[in-house]
Amino acid sequence: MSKDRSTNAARLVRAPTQRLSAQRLSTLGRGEQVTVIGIDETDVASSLPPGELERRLIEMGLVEGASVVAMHEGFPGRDPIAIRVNDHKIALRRAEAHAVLVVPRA
Amino acid sequence: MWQSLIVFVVVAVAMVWTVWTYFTPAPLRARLRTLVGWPRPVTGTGCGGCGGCQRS
Amino acid sequence: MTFAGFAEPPRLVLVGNPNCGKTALFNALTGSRQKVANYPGVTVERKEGQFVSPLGHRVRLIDLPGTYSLRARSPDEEVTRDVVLGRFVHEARPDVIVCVADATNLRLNLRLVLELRKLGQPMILALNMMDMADKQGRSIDAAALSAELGMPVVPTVAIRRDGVAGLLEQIDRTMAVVGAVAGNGGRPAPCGWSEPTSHDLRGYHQNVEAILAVAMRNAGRPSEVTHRIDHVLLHPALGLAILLSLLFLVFQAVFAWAEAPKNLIDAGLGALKDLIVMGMAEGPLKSLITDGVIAGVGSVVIFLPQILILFFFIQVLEDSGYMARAAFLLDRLMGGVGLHGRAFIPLLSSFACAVPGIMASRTIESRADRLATIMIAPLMTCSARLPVYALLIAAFVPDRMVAGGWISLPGLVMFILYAAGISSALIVAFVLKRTVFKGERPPLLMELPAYRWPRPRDVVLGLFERARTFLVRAGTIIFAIGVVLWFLASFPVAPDGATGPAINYSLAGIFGHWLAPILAPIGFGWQITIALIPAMAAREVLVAALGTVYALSETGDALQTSLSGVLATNWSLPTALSLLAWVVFAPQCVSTLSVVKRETNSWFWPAVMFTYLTILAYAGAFVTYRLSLFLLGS
Repeated sequence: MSKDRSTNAARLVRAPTQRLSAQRLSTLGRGEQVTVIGIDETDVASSLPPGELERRLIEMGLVEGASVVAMHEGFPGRDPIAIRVNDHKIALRRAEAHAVLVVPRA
Repeated sequence: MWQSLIVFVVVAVAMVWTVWTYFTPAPLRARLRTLVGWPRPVTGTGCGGCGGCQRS
Repeated sequence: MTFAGFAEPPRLVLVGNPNCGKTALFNALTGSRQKVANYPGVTVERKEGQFVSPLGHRVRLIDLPGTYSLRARSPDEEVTRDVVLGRFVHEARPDVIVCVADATNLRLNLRLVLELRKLGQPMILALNMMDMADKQGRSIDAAALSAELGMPVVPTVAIRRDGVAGLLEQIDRTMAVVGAVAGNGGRPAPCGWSEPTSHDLRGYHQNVEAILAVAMRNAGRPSEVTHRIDHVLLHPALGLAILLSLLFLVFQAVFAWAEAPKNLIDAGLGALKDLIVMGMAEGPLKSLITDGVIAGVGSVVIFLPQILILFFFIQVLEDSGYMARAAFLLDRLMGGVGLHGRAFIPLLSSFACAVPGIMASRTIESRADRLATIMIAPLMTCSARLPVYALLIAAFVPDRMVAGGWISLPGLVMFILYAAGISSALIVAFVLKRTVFKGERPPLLMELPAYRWPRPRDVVLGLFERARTFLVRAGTIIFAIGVVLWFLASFPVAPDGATGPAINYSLAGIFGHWLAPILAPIGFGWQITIALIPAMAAREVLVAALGTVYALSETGDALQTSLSGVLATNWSLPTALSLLAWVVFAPQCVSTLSVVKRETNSWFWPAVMFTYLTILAYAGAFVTYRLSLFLLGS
């Protein structure tokens, strides 16, 4: 894993090229393949203390460099979503997925 | 007669046990325990029940 | 025989992510030599087992709740953290941590290993599910992994007979080392732990990647079976349809399959009672045994088959990995009333009995969500309401087919009663989440584990434990309360030459007459009022109590046909409907209230539950009574 992939969201602000092409995990449609480039939970309304959502996402494997494939969508409203993160599969709501910054995988 | 005696004992034990286990508040129970001099019961809790990290 | 350096058998703990096969490993190591109890003060199960190592040493093994991190989020995970850190007051720090990792999902599992390693405790890593990893063509170099992590690494296959031999040998080796250190009086300093920051967590992940780069010879191809199954089971429309049919099937089974064993238990209890009735001299002890103990404990034990059948399905669905999918499918729908997808499991359990349902709610991370789930659990139609429903339906609902002969009227009424429970639960949840438990919904963030065949051995051990817990409860608290209520309903005894049932003169009878004016507006006579008092212990007691009050010689199921006849002539239809509405809501279950007290560790929540359910029951019965009086024009 390259060093700048593993930096946190704050550092990403200083990497405008990557930031520009960044997409939120919440906008993913089924079958899309992306790579996580950072976590930014600032616009996510949450009952958790600040920083907690970020840590939980990391604990579930959503860390910089992780490859993600959108697999399934719930009903109604295509929420929550089930995604494959490297070797395992997790479910999360689009509201929280908004905190995860991703770029399409080459 | 002996039936009444057994019934009396069983009912009394059941009542005391129910009141003690389900209706006595935990702090009061702990106080009563120390008053009688019974050993401290196992009362650790999952949340914040830190027994001190120096314990060995 | 104990290890050198240890006065008593050493204590090992099993720690690992949820779904890493930890429980299967625990079962494989200890077999049936398990003891399950609750951790004091919390209702988290403490599973301890014993085994003898290959060198003949006795070892105690504790299975801790699965967790992704030592940063605990639910009461379950707090127990894991506190025990591992030695913070648990009456639980000494473990001698060795056996960390279990799923070999097919090492990337996620190793992070916890690194977090645990920081504690500086003696550790062993069990690479579980090696057979699955082999099948996927994944080759992990255990020796390289061991060198990278600085701890022994043993591949295990918990589901194979010889799959834990390597782990047992390693435990012997590790204990010899730990014992030698302990014998020299040196024990590593405990508790080198502080909550990791997001920076630390990223560090662990980088570390994991570095370790995997060395130790993972071939990543293999992950199995596609799970994804293929998920395409069907997680399909937005098809998935929900399958889930609903599955639930329907479970309910059918709970009510259909349980019939035979229930009748068997009933017959057994009846025979026991007859034996006592014939063999014992008349007196208070005989009455205590037959009317107090057999009627009280028996009326609860009779639900054991239903509870076991329901838990069989829950266990199989859980072990196969489907439960997480059910939570996924229902998250949005339950979210409509503000509940978490995970609330599904406790609510499903509550259809058998609210007590295990409320206990299952502890996997819900947020306290507000957990409390909301606990509060509505008693509104699910538990099996104890069934005898009451069955009695009243038999007495008042004509047995005929409606809708062109497709639906039987009694069945339809039963369905309406279930629907009334569920819809009122949803409304209460909606109101609670908008008033008392306001705030954002806690995030849903859960693993969807790979599908697996449930192991019969694990299912049987799980069911055995359920049965034991249930019977212990029946033998302690339900027994005690049955005895106390029998006393209240029997003393003081009726004076000589008294007319009317003896219960009239007892403490419960006096209390019933005193309460009767309060319940008159909802159509309950003094007989119902008196019967409701012993039924505070458990709803099904109402059937037995009504029988007693109506001065009949027998009680319970044996008499239902004739009792229903008596009720049909004595009660008006509005009274019967009113009582049905009452039973839907009324908090008539001491066990539920006491488990809420234990679970929330305060008297406040059971008091709130009792109050709101009583108000609902009274209002529901009042509206039903008045409305049906008006409609029936009497």
